[in-house]
Amino acid sequence: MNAYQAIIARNWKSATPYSALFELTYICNHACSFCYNCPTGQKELNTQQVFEALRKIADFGVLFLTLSGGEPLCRKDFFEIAREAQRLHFAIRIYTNAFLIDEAMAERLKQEVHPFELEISLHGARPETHEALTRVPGSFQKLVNAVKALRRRDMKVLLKTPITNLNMGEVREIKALAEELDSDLHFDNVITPKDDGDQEPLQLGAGEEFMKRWWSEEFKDVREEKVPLRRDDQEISAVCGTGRSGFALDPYGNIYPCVQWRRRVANILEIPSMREVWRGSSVLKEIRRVAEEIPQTTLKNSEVGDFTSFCAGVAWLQTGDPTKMYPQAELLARYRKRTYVELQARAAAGEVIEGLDQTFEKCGE
Amino acid sequence: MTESSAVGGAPRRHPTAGFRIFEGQATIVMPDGSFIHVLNEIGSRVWDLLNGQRTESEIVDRICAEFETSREVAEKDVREFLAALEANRMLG
Repeated sequence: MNAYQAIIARNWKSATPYSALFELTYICNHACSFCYNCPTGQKELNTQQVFEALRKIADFGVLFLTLSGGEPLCRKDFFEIAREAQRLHFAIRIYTNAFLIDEAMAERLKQEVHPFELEISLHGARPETHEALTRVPGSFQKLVNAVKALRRRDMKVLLKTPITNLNMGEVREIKALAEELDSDLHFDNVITPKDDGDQEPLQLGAGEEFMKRWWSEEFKDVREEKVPLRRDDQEISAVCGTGRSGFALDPYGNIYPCVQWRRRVANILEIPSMREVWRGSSVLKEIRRVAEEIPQTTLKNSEVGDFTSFCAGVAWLQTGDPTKMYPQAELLARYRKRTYVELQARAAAGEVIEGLDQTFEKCGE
Repeated sequence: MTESSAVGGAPRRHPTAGFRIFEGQATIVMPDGSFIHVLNEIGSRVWDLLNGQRTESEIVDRICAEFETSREVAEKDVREFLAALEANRMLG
């Protein structure tokens, strides 16, 4: 364990957060069919209110700040906010669809914001696939141009691709495109319900037949996980970092334990400091208790528990119970385990297979 | 370590560095994102003092006052530390 990992482990144990995700706005220039945001129509925080929130988050010791949305670059005061975040010494990450990033915008981001990473959603390797999800003509080419502009300036880009039934046939092309764009790529196997519990986005999921193939040898060259990884609840007993390693804020200033589990904790404008609410909140105490309980109950009692990447927030949205195994998690874990067992058998027969003893990072780690 | 940033002048943390000092230990993220730096206790204190308002000599004074170390050792350590920061483009 290196010095940074030691800090992370210590912070998890003491539930001291080091990251925050701030949804600056729900305004967006795309109309993605599976977007999980649920705007309420309330007034979003103005510039000064965002500054107040940032100061409270910084005073609390949070290092990593993700500026998200909606589309954060749609805010007219985005650069004012980002500069304030930088003045407060946050390490800044931006989640964006990149639609507004041209050469001039890329230069401003480089010179004024200095994000250590931009995460950009890529939904296909071809315009017709990407735009079937964004529902904005021209958005694919704009994304490609934006990534090129960012990479020309040596800015780190992570392309994120949720696997859907629309793009599952071109995962290899997506990987090739990411390589061509000199960017990192992350495939996400899970489509989440909307924040209000609407399950409609799940219909876009790639389905069981594809997941079975995804975790087989067929896609080993495309997957980040060459060998399926296992859980490790020895060092850190909580299932994930919800209410522990970080938290999320919506554009109205409401604080949540994480971006997925929308149990409102408080409004950041109504509290004197994050420290007080973090230690005193009954919601957070319950969240942490449940996160500790899941590995000892739900996962321990499941045949595929060791291979399950479990999200209490998704469980809550899908089943109404944050501790209940939900179909997507169980399905992925089943095929992860199947491949693992096959590889284990080959290793037992004398084949050299590296990585069989590795474990995956928990969400929020 | 360059003449302007560390010797005689007032060295300064790079303005684009993201960092927090928690329980006396600094964690630093530079915008190139390639490394996360974690400093030891004295390194963290020096980092905290690098606000562009103190000379290297004044930083050494503070380190001598706050930690049990001789001036000779503190001077050498601070100089080497600033050189390492400079080499990692963490001063600016």
